Amino acid sequence: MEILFYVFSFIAIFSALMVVTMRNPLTSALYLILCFFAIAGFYIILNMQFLAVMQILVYAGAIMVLVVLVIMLLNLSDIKSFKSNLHQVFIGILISVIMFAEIFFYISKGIQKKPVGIFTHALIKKIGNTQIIGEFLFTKYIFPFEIASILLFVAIIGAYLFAKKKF
Amino acid sequence: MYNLSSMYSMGLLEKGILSIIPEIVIVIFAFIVLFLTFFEKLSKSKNPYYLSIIGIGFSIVYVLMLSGRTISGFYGEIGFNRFDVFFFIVILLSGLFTVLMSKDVMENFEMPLPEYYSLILFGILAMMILIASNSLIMVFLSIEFLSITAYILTGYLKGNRRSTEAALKYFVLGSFASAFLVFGAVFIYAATGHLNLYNIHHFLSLISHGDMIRYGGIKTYLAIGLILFLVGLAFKMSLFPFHAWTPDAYEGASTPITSFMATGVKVAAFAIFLRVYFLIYSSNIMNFNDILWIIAILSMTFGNIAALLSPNIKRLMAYSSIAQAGYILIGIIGGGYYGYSGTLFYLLAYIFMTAGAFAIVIIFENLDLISLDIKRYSGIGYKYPFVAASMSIFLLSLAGIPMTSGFMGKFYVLSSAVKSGYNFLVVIALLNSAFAAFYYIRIISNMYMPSKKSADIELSNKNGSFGIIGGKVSGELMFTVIVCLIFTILMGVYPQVFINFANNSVNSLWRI
Repeated sequence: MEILFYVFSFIAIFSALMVVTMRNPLTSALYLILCFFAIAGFYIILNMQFLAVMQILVYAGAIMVLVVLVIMLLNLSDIKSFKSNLHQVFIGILISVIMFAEIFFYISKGIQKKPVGIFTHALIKKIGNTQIIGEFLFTKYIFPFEIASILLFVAIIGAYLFAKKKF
Repeated sequence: MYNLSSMYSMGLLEKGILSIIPEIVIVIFAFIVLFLTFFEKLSKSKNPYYLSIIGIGFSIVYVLMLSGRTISGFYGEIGFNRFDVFFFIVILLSGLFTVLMSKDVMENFEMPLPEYYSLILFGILAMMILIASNSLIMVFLSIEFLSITAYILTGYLKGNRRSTEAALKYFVLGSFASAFLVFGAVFIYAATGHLNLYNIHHFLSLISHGDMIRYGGIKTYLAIGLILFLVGLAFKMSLFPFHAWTPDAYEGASTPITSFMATGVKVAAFAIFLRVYFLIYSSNIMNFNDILWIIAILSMTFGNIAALLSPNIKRLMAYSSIAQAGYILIGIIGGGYYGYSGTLFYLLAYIFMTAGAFAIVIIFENLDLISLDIKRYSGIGYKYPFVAASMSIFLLSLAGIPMTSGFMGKFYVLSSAVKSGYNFLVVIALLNSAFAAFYYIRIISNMYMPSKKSADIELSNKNGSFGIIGGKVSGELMFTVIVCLIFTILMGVYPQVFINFANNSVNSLWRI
C-alpha cells in the first residue's frame, strides 16, 4: 500500500508541473483534472471515501467545467488549431485508469488502519463516513459552518460588485 | 456508544449564543443594510450610513453589558472574556471611525452606496470573530473572511486602475499567506491532535512535565507548523518580509478603507497573534523570540527608511504602519504581564492616532487639493489652523513625542523589553524612533514653514469659507478628528485609566 502513496504523489506532482508548463490551455486543464484525481487517491488510501468523492465531484466536476468554459471564452480560435492531441488522449486514459483504481481500492476496503478516538474502525464501517461528517458539522462545528456560509455570501457580493458594469 | 446529539445538546447552544451577541448584532445590521439595496430610494438616501452607526453603537452597548463575564460558547470554538472585550471595543471604534469618515468620500467620489457599508460591517464581524476564536478552524475561517472583505473594499473604486491593481495584488499575495496559515495549522494539528487552542496549551504543558521521550517527534512538527502559522499572521500584521502588499493596497484603496485596514485589520491580527503566542508559542518548543526579534528590527528599520523616501502621504503612512507594527511586536517579545498590557495599550493608542491622521488626509483630499503629495501640504498651517494643528499632534504622537499617547505606548512597550533583558533591541528601537521623527516632523515643518518655491502652489478652492473647515467637509469628519485628538492627548497625559483597562483584560489571559 505504501507504493500506492508514491505512485499517486508522483502523478500529482508530475501533472501539477505539466499544468504550468503546457502551452495549450486545454491540455493543462486536463492535467489539472489528473492532479485532482491523484489527490482523490490519497483520500482513498486514508480511508476517507466521502472526501474522495467530494474531491472528484467538486473539483474535477464543477470547478473544471468552469475553467474549461473560461478557456473557451478567452481564445476560441486558438483551440481549433490544436484540437486532437495525443497528449490529451493519454491523459484521458490515465484519468480513467486512476478512477478505476480508486473504485477498486475503495471496494477492497483500503488499508486496515486503526483510527483513534471514539470512532473506531468498526463504527465507521457501520454508520459510514458521510453521516459522521454531517453530524459533526451540525453539532460540534456548527459555528464554523455558519461563519463559512456568511463568508461565501460576502464573496458572492464581491464577485457581483466586480462584475457589475456600472453602479 | 456513539450518540452525538446527546454529547452536544441544545442547552450548550444557548450559552454559546450568549457569547456571540455583539457579533450577532453586527450580522443583523449588515444584512439589513444590504437589503436596502432592493429599494432604490432607500439605498440612495443616507439610511445605510445611519443604520451602520446604530449597529456599531448597539454592539458596543452589548459588549459593555457582557463585560466581566467569561463565556465559552459553541463547544469551545469561540469565547468571550475581558481580553475580547478590550479588542472588541478597539475594533468597533475603528469601524465607527471608518463609517464616519466614509460619508464624505462616498458623496464626493460617487461610490455605490449600501453594499459598501454592509461590507464594512461584515469586515468588523470578521475581526470580532477572529479575536474571539479559540480554535484553529475558527482562526483560519475568520482570517479568510476578513481578507475577502478587505480585498473587496480595496478594489471598491471602480474604474480606478490603481484601486483594481491594488486589490488584485492584495488578493494574490493574501491567498499565498492563507495557504501558509492553513498549512501551519495542519502541522500543529498533526503534532498535537487538538484544534482548540486551550487544549493544545494543556497538551503542551502536560508533555513538558511528563516524559518527553514518548513525544520526541512532536517538537519538530510543532516548530514547523508554528513558523508557517507565523508567516500567515505576519502577513496580516504587515511585518517586514511579508509587507509587500501594504504600500500598494494602502495607496490604491479609498482613504477610509486605508484607515480601516491600518487600524482594524492590524489590531485584529495582533490580537489573535497575542493569544496564540501566549497559548502555544511561549511553551518551550523553540525560542521564537529569536525570530520575532529579527522581524521587529527589520520591520522598524525598513518601514522608516522607506517612509523617508516616499513623497505620497498615503504611502508614507503605509510604511510608517509597518514600522509601528515593529514597535508593537516589541511588547510581545518583551512578554509577561507587563509586555502584553503594553501591547494592548499601544494598539489602543495606535488606532486613535492613525484614524485621526487619515481623517485629516481625507479632509485635505476633499478640498480639491488632491494633495496626496506631501509638497502640497506647504503653508496649510495658516489656512486651516485647527486641522493642521491636530495633524501635527497625530504625527508627533506617531513619532513618539512626550505628552502624546504614542510616547506612553512606546515607553510602556520598550520598558517591558528592558525588563526582559532585550537591551540591544531597545537601543535599535530608540534609534529608529528618532529616525522616524524626522519624516513626521518634515510634514509639520512643511505645513507651517512653506519654502519659497512651493508657496506658489495656491489652493484652488480659494473662495470657500475658510474657518476651521472649508469646502465639502462635513461635521462627521471633524467629529472623528476631535475624538481622536482628545484620546490621543488624554492617553498621553493621564494614561492610568487606559492602563488599568489593558491590565484587566490581560489578566483574563492567565485565567484559563
